[in-house]
Amino acid sequence: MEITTEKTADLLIARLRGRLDSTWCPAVRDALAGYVKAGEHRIQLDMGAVDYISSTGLRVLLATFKQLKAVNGRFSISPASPAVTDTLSLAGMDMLLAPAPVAAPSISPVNASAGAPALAPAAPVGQPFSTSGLRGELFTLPAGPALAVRLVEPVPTAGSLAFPAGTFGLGVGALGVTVDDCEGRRGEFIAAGGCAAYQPTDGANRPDFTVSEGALIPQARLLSGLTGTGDFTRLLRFDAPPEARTVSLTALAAAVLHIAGTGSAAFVAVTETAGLVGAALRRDPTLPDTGGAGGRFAFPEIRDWLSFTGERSFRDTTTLLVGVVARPGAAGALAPQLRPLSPAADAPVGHVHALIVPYRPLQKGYMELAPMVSALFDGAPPQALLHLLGDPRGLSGAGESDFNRGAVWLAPFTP
Amino acid sequence: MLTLTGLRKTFNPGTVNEVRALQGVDLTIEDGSFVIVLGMNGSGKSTLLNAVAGTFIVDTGRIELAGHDVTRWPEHRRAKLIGRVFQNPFSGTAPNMSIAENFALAARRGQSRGLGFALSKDLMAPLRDRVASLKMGLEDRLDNAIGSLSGGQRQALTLLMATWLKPELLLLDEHTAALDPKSGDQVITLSEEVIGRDKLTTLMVTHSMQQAVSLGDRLLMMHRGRVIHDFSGSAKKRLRPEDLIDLFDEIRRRELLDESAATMLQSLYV
Ligand SMILES: Nc1ncnc2c1ncn2[C@@H]1O[C@H](COP(=O)(O)OP(=O)(O)O)[C@@H](O)[C@H]1O
Ligand SMILES: [Mg+2]
Repeated sequence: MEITTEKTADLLIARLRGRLDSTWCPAVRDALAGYVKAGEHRIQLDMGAVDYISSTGLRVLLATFKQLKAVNGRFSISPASPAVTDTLSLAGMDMLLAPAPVAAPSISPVNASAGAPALAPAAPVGQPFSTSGLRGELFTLPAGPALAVRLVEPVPTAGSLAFPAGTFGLGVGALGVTVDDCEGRRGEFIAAGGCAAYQPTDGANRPDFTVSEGALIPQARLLSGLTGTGDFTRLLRFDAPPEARTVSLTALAAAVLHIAGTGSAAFVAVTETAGLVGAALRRDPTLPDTGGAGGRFAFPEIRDWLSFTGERSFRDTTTLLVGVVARPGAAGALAPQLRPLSPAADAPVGHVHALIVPYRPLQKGYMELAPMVSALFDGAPPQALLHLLGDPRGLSGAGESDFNRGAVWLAPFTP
Repeated sequence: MLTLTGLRKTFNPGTVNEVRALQGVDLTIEDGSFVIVLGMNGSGKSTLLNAVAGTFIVDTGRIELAGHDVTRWPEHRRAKLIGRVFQNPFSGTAPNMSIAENFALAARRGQSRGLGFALSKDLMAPLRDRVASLKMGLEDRLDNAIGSLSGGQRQALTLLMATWLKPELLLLDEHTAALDPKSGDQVITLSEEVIGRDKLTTLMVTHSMQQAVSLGDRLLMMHRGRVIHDFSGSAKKRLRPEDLIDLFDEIRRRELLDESAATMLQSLYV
């Protein structure tokens, strides 16, 4: 089996030559998965020189077809050898045999059903955008209520907070309404797009989450952190610039502040992730100290309280980020919750939480925040929740989180 | 029942080679429970089993087995209650003695009757049956020196000897780690069978994730001389090898959190 590729303006053409049998399926599956991870959502598979395809081979093709269909991409087989055409037809998989590729749908098609020519609002059109650390496409979103960000008051008896669409939050807390729901299990918390998740500290090894459904809206009690309400004003679809392989969290935060045009901004992002560095609580912070003179952040007691990734982790995952960032000195009342994202003196300060889900490719172009976020909770459940950190310890440190590409919704706010 | 309370053991105290191998182990193991012990190298698994077996006397703490306080009992006295199989197929048996003589020694454990009785047909008939059930063809070689057998055959026989008198407690310390995979599987199957049949209270140390999830009704994870995870009942049944790998990853991350990382976290984590 030989696999060669050719890039055209809006397609990746992959040519196979030989037999697609069980010996070669893993290689072809890995090759196709590699293209998708590299951001190729429009793939044409040339199977004109493939003289045999087994059912394992069919499964590989079908999986890629479904994966790309889910993100408005395209996967088609053209040309196909007679053997491939016959096998696909017999298997009822004719839909993979597309006659010819059509142009990329840059905006979602307008639904004009017969007799009711109601026009859906046109999706915003993006403008090219680039800074030193990333490049992409910037969309201006319809105006709505201005964004406001608040510190969570550290009052243990404060009531629960609701996180419907149009709000976001990050900090330490637990899903639930009563104190009993949360007692002994508070941990890293994140909320956006009507969905909320936290990493329980009661021994559960996976985050717990609630997704808005009908009248059900996530409720949580937070010990500390930041919450926000209002609309995001911009959407940035970003990619790594040609000279870099990934986009660092600092570069992303700097771009967010640059686009917001103010000293402070909040964002929600969905990213295809290259690696994450962060920490997460192991124990509910309201529990008593485990002993030791220096308190819970002293070494080695800190090992009981915090888990630290120690190196860049969660490579090739998909991530939901919620963050509040500011230029140094511009954090105002929120300063207690913000920390430098990297050691450079002019680096933004911020507080960013990340929910990690198994890898899935992200649809290109314009996207709505709430459906995109709730789609992350479909399928395989979240793996982990981290408070992201930029480890400044040079070579011995873990460095910072970075991303292959993603979508970030952002807005300025006045602290 | 085995009850361990506050067990501590430090090797070479006050020297540069000081190792705090057990740092406070509290554990109650019910009769008939089959407990898997996992942990990284040096986490104290063997030291825990040795403390129970009486290889050394613990610095502090209390060991109760089958209603006896055995904390101060010497090893040979505890051996009447405990059967052991080690990793090394060449320990625990006398290599120059025959299979039958080795069994006789095992059968004599804790009894005053002499070797003569043990080699009598009272012992030999059931022994032959039992060895035949191993399907290793050893029943016709009972007079051969045990040292002439393969590692797998020796471990199988050692296990039979260790459990011949239905001990109050069976200690297995990586008893298949030195075997080839096929012999290892055979010895594991035999272990399951013996433990299940006689409902033996068992502590088994293993490095195999597969064995750890498929065997036993309880799983302990040790780290730096402590039990840091304890799964039983449905929580044990639910464990998959991936979950154990996650737990090991978690331990590795814990180790990466050193003093300099702690300083960094103090300033950056909110
Ligand atoms: N007899 C001994 N003398 C000195 N140190 C020992 C002795 N036995 C074990 N240790 C040390 O105690 C620690 C725990 O060892 P061990 O219980 O054998 O670990 P494990 O079985 O989990 O691999 C190790 O650091 C080991 O070097
Ligand atoms: Mg945090």
